[in-house]
Amino acid sequence: MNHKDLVTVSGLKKYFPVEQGMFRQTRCFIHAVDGVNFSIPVGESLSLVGESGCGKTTTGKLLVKLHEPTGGSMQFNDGQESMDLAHLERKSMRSFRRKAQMIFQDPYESLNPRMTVFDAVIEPLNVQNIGNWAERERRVADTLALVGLTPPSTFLFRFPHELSGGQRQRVAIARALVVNPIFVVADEPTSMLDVSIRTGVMNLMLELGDRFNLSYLYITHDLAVARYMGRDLAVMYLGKIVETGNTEEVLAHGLHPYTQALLSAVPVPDPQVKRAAAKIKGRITAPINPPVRCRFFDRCPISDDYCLKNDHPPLEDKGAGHFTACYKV
Amino acid sequence: MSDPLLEVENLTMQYSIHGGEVTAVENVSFSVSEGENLGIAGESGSGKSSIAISLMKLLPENARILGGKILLRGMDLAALSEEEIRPYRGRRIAMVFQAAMNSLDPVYRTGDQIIEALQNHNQDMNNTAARARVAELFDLVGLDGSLMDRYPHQLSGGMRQRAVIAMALACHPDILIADEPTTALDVIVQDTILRKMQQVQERNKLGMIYISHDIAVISEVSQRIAIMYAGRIMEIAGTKDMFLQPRHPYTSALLNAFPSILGPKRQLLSLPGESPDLLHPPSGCRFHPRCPRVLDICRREPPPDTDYGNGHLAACHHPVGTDL
Repeated sequence: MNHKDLVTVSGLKKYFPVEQGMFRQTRCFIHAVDGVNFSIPVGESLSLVGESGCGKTTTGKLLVKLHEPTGGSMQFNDGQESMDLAHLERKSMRSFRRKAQMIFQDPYESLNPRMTVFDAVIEPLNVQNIGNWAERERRVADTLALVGLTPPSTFLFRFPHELSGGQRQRVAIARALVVNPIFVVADEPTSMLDVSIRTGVMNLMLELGDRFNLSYLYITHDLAVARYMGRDLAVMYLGKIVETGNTEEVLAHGLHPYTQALLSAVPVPDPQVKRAAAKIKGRITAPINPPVRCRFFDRCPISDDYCLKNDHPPLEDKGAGHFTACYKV
Repeated sequence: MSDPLLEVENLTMQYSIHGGEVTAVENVSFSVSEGENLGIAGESGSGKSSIAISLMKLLPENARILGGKILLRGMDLAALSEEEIRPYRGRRIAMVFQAAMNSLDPVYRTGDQIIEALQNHNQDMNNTAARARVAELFDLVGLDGSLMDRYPHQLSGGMRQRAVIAMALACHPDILIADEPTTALDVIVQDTILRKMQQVQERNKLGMIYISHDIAVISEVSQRIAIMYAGRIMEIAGTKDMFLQPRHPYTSALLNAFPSILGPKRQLLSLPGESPDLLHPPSGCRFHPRCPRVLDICRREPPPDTDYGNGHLAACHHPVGTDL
């Protein structure tokens, strides 16, 4: 393990039980995250992309301990202390929560409608017992200014319904950053926002990332946004990472047939470009007790007998930190 | 270019809400010819869906059309009463709604819902003929005919979306309005549906109005684009002209706000401020409070359309690429 890696995940698993029948017996499991490995270096960001239902949000929630993993390990090392996130004690949990925060997708639901902006942003400081009252107040004002809600005094005592979508998401970002974390999981933070507002929020996050040497796990379904936000990219399909590496490298030389299908399906804002149709059939299904073979088998344009008879392929090094999980490439 | 199928002239539409009147669509004019796809792009609240429901005359109770003409092959839909317009709706002008996959009735089989529409417009059609027509329509949008006997919940989002498109095409409309038809879908499904719609449109010489917030999607499906902001069309042009030489600063800002997976990675420019409150719209040009090229006159007078040739119009006092 590289000591400069802030987060190192190996073999991470999360199975959700599917309950059925009169006595709600557990008949099977949804393999939401099924043996995922990746690492995020200090100060760098990883974009996690995939279609809905691929397990990207579950991965994010596991990393901030909103879910307990079924198996695997998650190491968190910020240079001062090293923690095993899979087995955190209560005391370390508090210190971890100060270092890792999450920004959610929908700013209309992630903020309590009965709390003012001030209450929402000061709450993490109260919970963490950081500073005295005067310091907390100052810090809230500073953070609001940082996220572009200026002057802070005009926003402090507003309720969420008095804010626009972009402003709400800025409050959510302020709430995450007020405790000075070094790791932030951002789950589609701009997908609910309008285009002209979205760019502002993305640029703000990049700027704050640079300024405070933050690492983001940036979860999105949009490859173009993933490219803009993360130096590294991981493509996820039914609980597995099928391809990962430097973002530009993966986008330019994507090897996995799923990555290629995604790439060819993304609309390009340039009328001169004509795309070829994606070579992929069917649709994503729920990974309920998936059969022992490549998860992508049913939709793959290049699969053969070997893929049918062997387990899901491991991530293989294709050079320069570019990993692909496919027997055929 | 052939004669316009649909001509909209100075359409103005207003909602009465608590606190006043909101002019959601103001003096909007455009036309669509046979086989042409016009994209209407804009952010939420810019009035693009309000245009769609005005064209269909499916106005909620608190909305009314204040003025303007909606000429479908020369006949003014805006002047028709609810009773008079009914035969045209669906048959001449049809619509696929936003989140249409949720607009199917869960208690009826998918195919039966289309049969109902068919028989409504054509009393003589018997069940066998209607089922044959539904199978034909399903085939057209790339669905297996056997799916018509399934209930909506047994279909995936993409399948439901295709079924709704099939329903809109049921009575051979001349014009199809699609309001964000793929927004809630995953990118691969979106891609297949967009391709299917383009095929159908070309084959049937359908005039189409494609409404979306996503410039990337519109640039692929539409031959012409209208950019809306706060109820007005800011700029309208052929897709290539629009991308090569946007004249309106808002268009230029929108084009610069979309990341792409192709080409060199570039810094995206963000627009300051928020979309205007239409209850108290800004004076003059509605975009002036956020405009990087704002002049004094922009605050006072709404800009007239300037014609740049080839059907390229932009409403701006200080367009991109000019100096004063």
